[in-house]
Amino acid sequence: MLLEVNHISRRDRRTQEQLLEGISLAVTGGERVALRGRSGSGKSLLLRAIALLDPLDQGTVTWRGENVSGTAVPEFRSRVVYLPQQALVAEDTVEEALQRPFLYRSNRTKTFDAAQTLERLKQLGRSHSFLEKQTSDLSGGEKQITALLRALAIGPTVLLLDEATSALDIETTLAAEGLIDSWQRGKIDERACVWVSHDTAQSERVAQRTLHIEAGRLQGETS
Amino acid sequence: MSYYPLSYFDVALAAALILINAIVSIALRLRMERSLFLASVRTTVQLLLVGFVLQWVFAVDQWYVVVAMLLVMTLVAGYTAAARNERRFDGMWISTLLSMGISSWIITAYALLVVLRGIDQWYQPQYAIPLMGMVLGNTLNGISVGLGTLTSELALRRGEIDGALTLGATRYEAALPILRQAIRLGMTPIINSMMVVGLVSLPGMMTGQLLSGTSPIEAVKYQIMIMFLVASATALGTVGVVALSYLHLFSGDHQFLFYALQKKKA
Repeated sequence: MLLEVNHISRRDRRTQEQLLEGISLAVTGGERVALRGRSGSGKSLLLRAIALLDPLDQGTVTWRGENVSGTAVPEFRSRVVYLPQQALVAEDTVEEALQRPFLYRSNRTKTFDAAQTLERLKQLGRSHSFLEKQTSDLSGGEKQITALLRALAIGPTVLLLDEATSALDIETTLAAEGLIDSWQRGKIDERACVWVSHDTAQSERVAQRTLHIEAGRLQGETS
Repeated sequence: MSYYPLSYFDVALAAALILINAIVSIALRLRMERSLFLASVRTTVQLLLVGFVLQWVFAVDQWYVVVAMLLVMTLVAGYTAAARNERRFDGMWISTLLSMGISSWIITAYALLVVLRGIDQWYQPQYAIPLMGMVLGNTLNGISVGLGTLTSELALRRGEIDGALTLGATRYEAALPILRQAIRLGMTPIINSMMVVGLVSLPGMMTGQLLSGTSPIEAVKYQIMIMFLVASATALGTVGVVALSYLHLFSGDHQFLFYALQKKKA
């Protein structure tokens, strides 16, 4: 099993509101899972929890059968990448933003493949000059493009996509889905993705099975 | 050399100058009369009280009295450094007090035991208290600026930090730009004052020594010593408070504990 989430629960530290309650799920290589639920049901929090971005009150996340915690977390996150809806790109230019992750210790053995990134950029309908853009000038959609390219560049095993294409037009959205598809097909028995999307059509396009979440609890599964 | 001792009447002559502030305030309707009055009373009362306490500490001349006095000064400085901070987190007070205490005590101890090794007693209040006061007063600024920058930038740049963490950064890698900025800003005022000391203004301690009849070169030597004590204590204190706060605001699982960073209740 690639990734397992075992009985995780989380409360809001201030209000004591139960945010996630007893959630378990498993993701195997090659899977595409959609996570659906109403606003505030805990979709984003669940994706963040899988990436261990917030402290949990209970439960564990295991990666290839091993419990992930402490010093193992950064390397785990370089394999299981969470992509937020509002990608924040702090570097000066897009190119710097794309290269930044390679300065982190957990990505040090990887190298930035400029040619592949350019190829992906072309598929998203952007030219080479996009790389020289100032990140402060990027629109919401362009930030999402940058964030997606940056996540793909470090060669993740699992992508946790949290409305990651919500600011893109339909052509670019389809192109982005195509990119993610071809990334996954690169190692189909190993790579997986979990999508959160408000767009029913997108969920149906990209996922083989759908998990439903309500008030922080998993309600069931459809395929 | 000797100096001219002020009588209470002389002090009152100086205090009469507050009338200038009062006239300005009334003429321009600044409505500052109340604050001016309060400030004048506080200046006089606080300094007189400290004067009496110091008289007593100097007269008793025992190490434990001096140490107790230094402890109180440290606690007040530590409290002041954090009290005005816009944000709160569990561990803020202890981080501030520890960095304030450790930095100023190490540096003052170095001054008393190494630099001034020729003095009769290490705890001589004439040296220990003003040196600690200078060190604390300046370290307080560094710690206050460092803590303020760290907490406000962390809150402001939460997305950036999370962004780094999601791509495999360690908590240190994710926080480093902000840690650097906080430390740099904390140390800037003391570096600025080292740049212009003597050119723009004469430092208070040196002025005091000159007034009390010390020769300029002797006063300058003390002032140079003080500048270096203050600079090093500020560096230690600022790094200390930034590092300790960082450890409280990031978990061992490399998570940014944003929820721990609460706005101060008004």
